[in-house]
Amino acid sequence: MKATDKFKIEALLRDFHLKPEVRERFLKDPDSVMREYGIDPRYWPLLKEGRLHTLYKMGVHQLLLYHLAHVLGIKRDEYVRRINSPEF
Amino acid sequence: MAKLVIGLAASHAPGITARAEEEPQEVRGRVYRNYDRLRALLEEARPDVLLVVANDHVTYMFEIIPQFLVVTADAYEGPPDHQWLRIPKYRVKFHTDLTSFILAGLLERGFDVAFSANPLLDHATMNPLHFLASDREGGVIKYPIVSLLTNAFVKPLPPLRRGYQLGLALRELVEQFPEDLRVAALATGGLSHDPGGPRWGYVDEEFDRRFLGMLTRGDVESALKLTPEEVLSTGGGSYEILNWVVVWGIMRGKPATLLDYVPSYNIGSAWAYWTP
Repeated sequence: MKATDKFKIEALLRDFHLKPEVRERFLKDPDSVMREYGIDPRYWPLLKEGRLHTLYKMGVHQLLLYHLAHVLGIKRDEYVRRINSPEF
Repeated sequence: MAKLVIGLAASHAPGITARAEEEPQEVRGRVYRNYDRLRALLEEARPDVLLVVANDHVTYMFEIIPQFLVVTADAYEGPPDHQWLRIPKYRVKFHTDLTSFILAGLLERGFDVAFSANPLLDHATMNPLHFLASDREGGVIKYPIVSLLTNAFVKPLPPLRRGYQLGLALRELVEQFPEDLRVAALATGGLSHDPGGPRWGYVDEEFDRRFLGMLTRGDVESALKLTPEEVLSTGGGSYEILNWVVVWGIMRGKPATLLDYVPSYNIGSAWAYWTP
């Protein structure tokens, strides 16, 4: 993953933490929020489906993945399972 | 002239307040007692200022990532997620004269630290202040602070040796500050943990006890040989020991007294102090 692509994803995940309204808009219309953040559409499914293992292996920071999990309602046990499972 | 009156180090695990009930009452009580013991030591030292060394969590230091940053604000209210942390939203005042003196002095000594008057202080700074320096209910931190933030999470990380050297320089500057101030230093964070990582929940007790052994023996050289890769192999959050090493430098490498080590809340949590 290119550094600029990763940065755009991480910027969204960081704003999930700091801006409740971004979290709310993402839950209602994720595609428009990801478009707004300039995230390449090929990465959209990874975020919407909570593909934590893939995102982690692509270099997205683990502290920021936690914020994605929070928005998607993924609890800690499931989080650990997903980040360790290649199918995710 | 100002003088250093005590050095403290404490876990800043957010779960201690946010998810307190996750640990049994016995563990929870032990954790809280450790903060109470440090708080008593701090109050006994009668500080005028608290120099807090904590790290960011890829939140504030994001678009630009300094290795070390001095906060130059006058006041702050936070942390932003205080409701999730289940602590009050605190008002913090900064000791701006000492901050300016330290910032200028560090630059003169070759430490090109960043600075900002618009800080975001998260649980790494605010949770220990909640336990050690607050009125607990009214949302006030009792002491003005000097806030130094480190990069403990985004590679490339500063070597521990650089953190130690920074601590030595901070001690010199505190002692050159031309006011009769009593200054306490506080390191927050660590020890091993992997927040949001594949081993989230794992604590490397062997590593933690090895590091604490170095700390309590005053074995600075062994600690400074730890590489970022070696430390991160124990967990993605373990490099928060950088904050401890900075304060160890402020205490000029003296052996620390370990109050307690409690693997809890997914972190190898420890509490320690130094006398000057």
